[in-house]
Amino acid sequence: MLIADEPTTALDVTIQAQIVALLKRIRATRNVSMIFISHNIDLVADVSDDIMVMYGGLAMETGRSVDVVTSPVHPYSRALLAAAPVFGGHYSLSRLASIPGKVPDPGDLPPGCPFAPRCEFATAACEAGIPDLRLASPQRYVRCVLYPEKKA
Amino acid sequence: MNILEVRNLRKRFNLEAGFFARFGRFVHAVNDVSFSIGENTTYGLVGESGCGKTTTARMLVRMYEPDSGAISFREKEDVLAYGSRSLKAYREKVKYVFQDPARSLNPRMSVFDVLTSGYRNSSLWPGRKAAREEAGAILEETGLSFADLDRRPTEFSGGQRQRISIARGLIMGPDLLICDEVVSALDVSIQGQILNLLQDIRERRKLSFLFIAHDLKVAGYFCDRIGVMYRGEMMEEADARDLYRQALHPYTKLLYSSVARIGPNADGASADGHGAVPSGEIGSSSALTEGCAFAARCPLADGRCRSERPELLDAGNGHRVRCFKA
Repeated sequence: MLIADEPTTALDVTIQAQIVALLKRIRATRNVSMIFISHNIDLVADVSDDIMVMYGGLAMETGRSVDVVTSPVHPYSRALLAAAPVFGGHYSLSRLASIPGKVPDPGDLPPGCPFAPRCEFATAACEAGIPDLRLASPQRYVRCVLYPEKKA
Repeated sequence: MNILEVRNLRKRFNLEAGFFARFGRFVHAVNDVSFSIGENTTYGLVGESGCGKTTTARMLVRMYEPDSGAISFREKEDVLAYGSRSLKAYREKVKYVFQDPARSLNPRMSVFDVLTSGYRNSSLWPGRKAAREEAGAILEETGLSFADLDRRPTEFSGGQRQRISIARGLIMGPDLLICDEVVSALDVSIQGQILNLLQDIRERRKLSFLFIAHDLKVAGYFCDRIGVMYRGEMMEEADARDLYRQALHPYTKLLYSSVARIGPNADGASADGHGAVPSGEIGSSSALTEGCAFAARCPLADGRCRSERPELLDAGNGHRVRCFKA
């Protein structure tokens, strides 16, 4: 088991690609498992089979990497993926969907869902308590009052 | 009209310093770089660490003196010939916003002092009371509040500090803002806020930007025109939207194919590339190689690439590329 904590964060992209290839090779040849930690969600999705999106100390959404990145469910995952520019995007075509507010101080978290103060869908229910991580679709868990439990 | 034109800029640094330094070992930080920034447009410089982006930008405000080359402002003024008085006036028109807001803002000064420390010694200084009104208005323009003038930079988060840096850049009403990796240290959600803020400022104030970034997605989104640098040389230059659709230089293609992608965006530049992981690291630019700077890492390089330096040639539509194979 290898825990790789932001192993490429300070590196240039071409070197990052080499390190990622090295990690993938090690995983295949040595048959190890890996936890890959990064703030770059595209990179995490590229390296990992399963992904966990965290915010304010909590898992907000988990699932298969491809599924989470291509069809995020939680408002935070959706906003995070929409906030980064993509190839082919241009300021003359569209504005970036930015997330208002700032990342909460881990010592002073808001009551209830930590993302609620920045969430465009937030209601009074979000501040009442921390929602449970519930099954939203097969292999997909989401911590949000908008997604009541479904039968898998 | 071009607000700034740069011709054949060169800068080398002596590798050894001090009294006993042997002479003759140099890093060619910037080698024969030319580009121009049009009025109310954004020019992006991209490339990896050590490619000379920041050295180039610093020469534009004469924080470093170039060894040779020419810089002209508004197509008539020779920036390198400025005396101290004209240089001061020029630096009021061309402002530099630094990379790291945690270190470039003096923690012992109030935000008001940070914003006005340069302004106070300029010919434009309107007096303390009027300056306070202006500084407060600019803070509000950058998304902070008037009351923040009396707080200290350490009380703010990274994104807010970058807003203070931008406000400091704007206070003397510049024509050109040099933004050196202004969003690189920020979380994705905050990066989007700052990019949108810069976009609003660009529209409202009709500013020109030199935007330095290593992130191709950010540069491609925010810039009108992009120059790709490698080991001090300009390898390719094109309109931002053409560069993504049709990168010509093998190094630019390598940069695009190195960016991780998955899902609906997992096509494009990587598909026509070689898919293989790039090998090698950026060599030192201490020795000027005879051939192309990228030849040692280039999958297409042949004998000519190693012995002869390609010129930056027009490939049509203002797309310029320095490669024999493109």
